[in-house]
Amino acid sequence: MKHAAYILLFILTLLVGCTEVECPLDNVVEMTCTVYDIESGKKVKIYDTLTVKIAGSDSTLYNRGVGFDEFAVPLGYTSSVDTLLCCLSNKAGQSAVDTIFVSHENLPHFESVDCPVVVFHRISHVAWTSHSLSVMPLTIDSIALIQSKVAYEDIENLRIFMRTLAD
Amino acid sequence: MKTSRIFASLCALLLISFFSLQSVSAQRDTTAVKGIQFVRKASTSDQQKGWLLNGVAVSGNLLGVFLANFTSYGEYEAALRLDFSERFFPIVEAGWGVCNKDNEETQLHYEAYAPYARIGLDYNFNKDRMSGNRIFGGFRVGFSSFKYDVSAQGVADPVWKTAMPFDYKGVSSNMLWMELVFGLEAKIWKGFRLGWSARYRRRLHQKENEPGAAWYVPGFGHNDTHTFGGTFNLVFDIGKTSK
Repeated sequence: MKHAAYILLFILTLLVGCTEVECPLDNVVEMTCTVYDIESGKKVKIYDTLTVKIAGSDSTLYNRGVGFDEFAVPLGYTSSVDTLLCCLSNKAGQSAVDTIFVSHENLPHFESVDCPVVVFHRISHVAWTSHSLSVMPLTIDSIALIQSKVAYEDIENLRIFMRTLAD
Repeated sequence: MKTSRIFASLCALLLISFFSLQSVSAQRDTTAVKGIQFVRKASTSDQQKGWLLNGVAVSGNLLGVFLANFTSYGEYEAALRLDFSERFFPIVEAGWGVCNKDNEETQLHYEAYAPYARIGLDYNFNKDRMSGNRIFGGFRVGFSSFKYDVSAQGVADPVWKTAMPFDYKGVSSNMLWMELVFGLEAKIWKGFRLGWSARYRRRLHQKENEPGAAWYVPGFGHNDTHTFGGTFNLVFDIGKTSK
């Protein structure tokens, strides 16, 4: 009997240790975009400055990135199409704005009563605008949808192919 | 806070169970004859081998009722058990799981009320089968098909400054799981017994729907790949072992 009581106490200790709530540590949901060169088809670093803003709003999603080959931005919880303004500028003082339109479905995700609800997304379609290289010698050439599901994982969702004047 | 309440109540139940076993053995000691003592050898009918039906028992899980009334979830559960040769105990457990949980921090509300059932077998490891006390090891397979409600005030978007409504009613789900059981049981009065069991539960299959997996599963408890649980049972024996 004594042994049985010890076994029970051990099990109860495990019970107490295993009922604590653990929410995901990496709970950021962002759309990851990688940057590729249209000519070489390889990933490239952009040394001009990029700022990504929401159209019709003052909110900045990605601020003054330099020397990057990928960036991540959040998508809206309630909108079905997000309009992202990609503001490009260089040291020569040239600047231009390309626009990315991301159509997506919003998927609320419930993990636990003790963890806040997060919103995943499923991207259905991407459209974009480009500018003339005479305005600024760097622009979006095309965008490929690689992975439609936007969730906790930091995986490549959009592959942005850039075109430069040198090409 | 809730965990410590459950721990305290389980410890209390353990002590009750432990002392009831002690009192039964003490009773046996006081009836011992001084001087020459004749020890009755176990007859072949006492130490039966094989699968000979000794009796039937019905039981109720008192811990589940306690949890259902004083914490955010619990079960109303009854069981029907057969006794084969005081050794093998096939058992069917059925119950009604209840859950009504609110979290002030996350503003989430979760509700589920549904039936569940388990089927399994216990084995009595107590060598002295005439003592009336049992040490069980066994397993269960459980299943529940249920619906749950989960809602929140609205999911605020910190960047786009909007709020998404979050209100799901009657989300359909089901789960199949297995349990490893360890338990003790003591005779307290006539056909009545008290016993507890500790259980390791492992999920085998679950149906997951759009908002995510169910937080509470009737009969399983807090949903995870595995979890621990327990019962404290009042048992009524019908048959040979009730005498």
